[in-house]
Amino acid sequence: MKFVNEAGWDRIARVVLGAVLLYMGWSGAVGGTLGTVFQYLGFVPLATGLVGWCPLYAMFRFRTNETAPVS
Amino acid sequence: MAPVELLWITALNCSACHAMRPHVVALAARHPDVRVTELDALDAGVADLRIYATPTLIGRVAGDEAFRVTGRRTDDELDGLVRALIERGEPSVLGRGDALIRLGGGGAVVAVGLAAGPAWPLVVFGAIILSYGAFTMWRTI
Repeated sequence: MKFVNEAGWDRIARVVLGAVLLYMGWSGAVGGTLGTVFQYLGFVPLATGLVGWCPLYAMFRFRTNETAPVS
Repeated sequence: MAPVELLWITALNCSACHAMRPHVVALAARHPDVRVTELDALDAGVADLRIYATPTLIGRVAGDEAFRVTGRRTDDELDGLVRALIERGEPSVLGRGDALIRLGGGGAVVAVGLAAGPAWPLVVFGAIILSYGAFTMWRTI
């Protein structure tokens, strides 16, 4: 679990955001190009939230979980 | 708690081992939950451990090697190593949190998939996450 760089609240927020984007995209609540973008863009926060690792955070050496667990 | 053990490998002609023995005995007394086993470097089976020097201290959690140190160590160092080892043996709260996030996320994606159509790719993806979450939760118990 050493790779995890997101706090619990961060992960939950990403999962919720991903679910909302996917719902808007796949249900047709948002149509057109934006709807298609949401259909696939929703997977990004969802996946990063589920895994607990954000590649952008890693790139900028940033983390929201203050206490990294000992491996 | 997963079984935590210390393997202490010594040799008869190793003065550092003799100097360290009372400290390891005291360490074992301070941590009765940790099984401490002293092995001679010439004992059968030690060859599998790939020991290159004595004294060597190997910490294991549930049979998996967690650390290996060689040479004489202070009491504080030994205590720190054993405390870290005990923490590793305790059920992982982070692992359980992980499982909960996966269970919640998977459930949310299944619900979204069913509400949006149904959108079967989302339902299948959510079901996979849900299964993985359930597996992770089962492992942490």
